[in-house]
Amino acid sequence: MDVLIEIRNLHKSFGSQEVLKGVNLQIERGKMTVILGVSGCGKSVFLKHIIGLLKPDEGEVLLEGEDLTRAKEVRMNQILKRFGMLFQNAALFDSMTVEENTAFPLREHTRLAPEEIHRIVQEKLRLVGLPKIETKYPAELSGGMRKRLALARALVMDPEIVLYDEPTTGLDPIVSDVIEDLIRETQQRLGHTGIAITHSLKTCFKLADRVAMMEDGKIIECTTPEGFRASTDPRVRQFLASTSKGPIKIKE
Amino acid sequence: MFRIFRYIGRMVLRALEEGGGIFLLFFQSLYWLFRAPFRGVIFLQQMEFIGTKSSFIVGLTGLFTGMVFALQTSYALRLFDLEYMIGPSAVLSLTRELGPVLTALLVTGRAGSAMCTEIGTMRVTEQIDALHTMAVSPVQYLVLPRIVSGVLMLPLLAAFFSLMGALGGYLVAVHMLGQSPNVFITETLYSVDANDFYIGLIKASVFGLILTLVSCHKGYQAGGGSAGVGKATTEAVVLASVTVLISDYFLTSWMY
Repeated sequence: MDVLIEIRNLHKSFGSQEVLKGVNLQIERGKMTVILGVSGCGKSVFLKHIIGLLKPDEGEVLLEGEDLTRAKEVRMNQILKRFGMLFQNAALFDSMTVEENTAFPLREHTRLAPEEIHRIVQEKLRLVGLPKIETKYPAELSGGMRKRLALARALVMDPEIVLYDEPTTGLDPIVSDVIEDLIRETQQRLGHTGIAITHSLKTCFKLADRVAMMEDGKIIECTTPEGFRASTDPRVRQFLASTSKGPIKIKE
Repeated sequence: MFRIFRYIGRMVLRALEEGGGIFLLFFQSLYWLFRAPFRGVIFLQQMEFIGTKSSFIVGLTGLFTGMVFALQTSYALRLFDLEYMIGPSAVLSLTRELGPVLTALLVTGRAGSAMCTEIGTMRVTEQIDALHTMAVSPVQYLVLPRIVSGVLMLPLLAAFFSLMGALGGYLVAVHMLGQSPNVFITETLYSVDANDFYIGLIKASVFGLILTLVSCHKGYQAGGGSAGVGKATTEAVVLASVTVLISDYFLTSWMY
């Protein structure tokens, strides 16, 4: 297995609440790894550690052997240029148009001519299937279009690694399916490494090359989709059966 | 009994945390000030927002402050037959004190609150996290241009305030109270020197730093959705205003 990112023994607490309790996971290069888990199991917090939005109390995030949790801000900014991230609520800049949103990373990090930037932006917007709406503002778009735009912005720098935070949450089932197809298709076409978190089994099985299940701040299973379906772990069985009866208890 | 200690302790801890956060933001901004890229357009936009767009309200307030000041002092000075001192007392108070302080309070209300709301909304909608993931320092992109604009524009606004105030004082003294224009102008020029002006400008610059820093800090730390942003904005305006007034006392006693 060609490991691109290795997470070792990651711990994180907020006050007295321990959210990550020693996460270990290997992310394979060029594959889509989906982290599955119930709401509140720590998957969002985990994803934020990979991209440096949160610092762990203990543990390492190794990208080709370099520990990201210890990188200084200037070095981290160099590393971050290899990443793209799709946020759960899109996190589009609401003061900028569709074109400006998509062009933002290019304008910040490249010295490309405006025409060249325009060309790349057009290409990415076409890739995610957004019709001619460059001059609109994010507030004027539907949920599905916002997700597409966020995906275009995440992909505009041709990143090696793309993180997807709950890519289909809050979308209707049909739009969800379209977004899942789009994510899968772009990932396979562009060949980047993907890490997605979701609580939806359908999203998980549509996207995943590898499935990791997180429960109570730990990765309890990491395998292929087929292996996951055949798992004998009672917590995995409960999740697959989508029932409230079993070892996983929801904290009310 | 212990509850009182606990309460005081908690207050002290909160104040230290707040102050520490503001200083940290200040040093982070300094760190990013001398690093590429330099985003000229954003700096100009912020200068326009804080400076140009505040000039109307600042000028208007300055004019009426000067007018009211001339009226009030003339009432007191008449008792001692010192009415020729209306000009100097108005202009000295304006340049040294009222100009910088009132301008800072006005800009806090107008631009500081907007700044805090904008940054706070970007925080709760993950736009600040998005900046970070796109390898753009949110402090350099959002906070630094606002602080620099505050430090540069506040002295200009305060000077404009004082100028309009002097005009207001002149209008009242000459056209309402019947003082000779000559007396007003000569007495004012005789009593006010450049130093009085500089003191006002330095104060205004410091106030500009305080109000932008506090507003950005409050927005940056906002959490808890739209209610959280509203709360942060209220706290920003209160904290910035109070800090301006307290630091005014220390600056005045230092540069007296």
